[in-house]
Amino acid sequence: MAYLNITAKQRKKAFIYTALSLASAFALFPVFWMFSISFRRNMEIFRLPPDLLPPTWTTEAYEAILTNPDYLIVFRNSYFVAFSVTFISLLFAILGGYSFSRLRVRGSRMMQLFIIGTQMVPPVSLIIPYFILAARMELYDTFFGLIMTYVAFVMPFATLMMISYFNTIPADMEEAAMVDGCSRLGAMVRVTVPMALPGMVATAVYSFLLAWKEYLFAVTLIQDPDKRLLPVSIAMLLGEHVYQWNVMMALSVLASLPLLVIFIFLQKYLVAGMTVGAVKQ
Amino acid sequence: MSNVKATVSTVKTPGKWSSYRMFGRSLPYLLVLPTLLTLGILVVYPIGYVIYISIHENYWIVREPEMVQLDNYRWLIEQKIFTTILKNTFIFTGASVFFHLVVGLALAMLLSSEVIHPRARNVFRGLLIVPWLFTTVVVATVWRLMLYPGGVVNGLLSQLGLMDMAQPLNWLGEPGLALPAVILINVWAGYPFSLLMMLAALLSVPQSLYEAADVDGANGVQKFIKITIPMIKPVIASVALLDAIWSFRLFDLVFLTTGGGPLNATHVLATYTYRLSFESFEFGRASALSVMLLLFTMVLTIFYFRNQEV
Repeated sequence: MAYLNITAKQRKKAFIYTALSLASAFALFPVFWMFSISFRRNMEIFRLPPDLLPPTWTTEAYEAILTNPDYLIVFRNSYFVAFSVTFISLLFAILGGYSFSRLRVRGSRMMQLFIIGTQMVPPVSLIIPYFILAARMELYDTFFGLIMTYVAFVMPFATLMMISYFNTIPADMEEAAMVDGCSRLGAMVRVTVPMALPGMVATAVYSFLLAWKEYLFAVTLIQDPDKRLLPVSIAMLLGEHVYQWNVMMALSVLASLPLLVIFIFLQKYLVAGMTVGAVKQ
Repeated sequence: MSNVKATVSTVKTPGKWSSYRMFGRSLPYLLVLPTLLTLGILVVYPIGYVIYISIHENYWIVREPEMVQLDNYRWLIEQKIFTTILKNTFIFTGASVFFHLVVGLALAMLLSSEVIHPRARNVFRGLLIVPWLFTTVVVATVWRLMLYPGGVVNGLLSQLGLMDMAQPLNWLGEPGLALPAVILINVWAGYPFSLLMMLAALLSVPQSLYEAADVDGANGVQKFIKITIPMIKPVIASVALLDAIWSFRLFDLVFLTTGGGPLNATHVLATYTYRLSFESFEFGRASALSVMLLLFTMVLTIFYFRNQEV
């Protein structure tokens, strides 16, 4: 009997590992393909039967991108916008999250419902007012207009994340600091905020990803090629007459680098950011 | 002793209206002000504005647009394409949510199994959420390359003898195939969210419930139906509703893979709104469509809030 049990368990184990490996292969194949194509010459992309690895390894697609000043500007723009959005929304979320979590705000529940509600608004439904308002307020083709747009779409979730993180930190330490003569603001800045660092990292990761990935507003509110962002730059290659798939894939790889860095070093925070606020507490 | 008391009483307490006191009292509101102001100016005001535009004749293009009440809405509903768009949107949303749930739950069940080593669980969980990382534009580009008639998907299918390369499938170019293909891409790109949520829910189900069921001689299927599903039902519901809200408004993936084609076979509310706005410059009509999208989302949001309250 015991013998039978062991084999049944082993069979189950084998089944689970096989199934997970197949699923991972399905999940990773497009990513593998992106890398594989990016190291090929353009004429070797559609050969039959398909070559899984590049027949001739070459970095010519990467060289084409990294020696082209137009692309370098696009990278600079994307990093600038994503970091600005991260900084502003993190600052706002810390202030708002702290207040909702620690202080007595009248109408706090209604305000929080309002914040969650705004999170549900489909960005595409606001594209016309944004376009017109940006044009009227001379914010069309400016980074400031785009950054504030992203901040607005990041804020709801970022605030909720900070509220729920502050809620997990006991108030004792802060009260002790206040007994020792710290002001409320001083206790917040010196005691609570440093303790909330993991929550801040998760919020920052979420904000950065949203700003880095966004396409609709980047293509609608910016026209100047010198202010173009990465997603728009990649999408523009899809509109050309001759597809340079290897360049497109190399650009996609480079555009995915910060995401891979986040994935490797900050995966815990990435996961926290995906699930917080959505699970019922 | 009395000396000390005297000292204390001479310390001035701030008056009711002193600036310090005012600051302390308004601090909670000052701290939430940036958030509320941003959301007010950049979300609430534009919602009002889009409603205003939707009841005017071609706003922005016409110099002094007249109010036309619901004409823009009527025009939309009378369009033949309107039914197609609604149908596509509902099929796309329904199928995306369904497959996200099924794939997410199946993988979460595998990952939460007790026979799997915790370190292996972490590695697989990491690998399985990789698709979620990628920028939609990158996802669209890579899948377009893979689904190209001469691309690797057809190549592998013909290797396996499932397809004749003389008549390759044009995944994104054939009206009957395009919508399923876009749904497939969206399933690939979106299941990690439901996987993580389901995994968190499954790992929180008390093990004692399963042990009790074992004592009663329940089999795997019974345990799944009688214990697992009821225990994680609230999470399934909130994942389904959030996913429905997100899929319903999805723009970039559809726009960048098919652009709504071929023959409008993949046009959804969001892509058609964009097309009316920036290809036809029909701002009034596009705004009416935006308002409809908002209303649909509001209904889903109300369901979501209800579910969260329970």
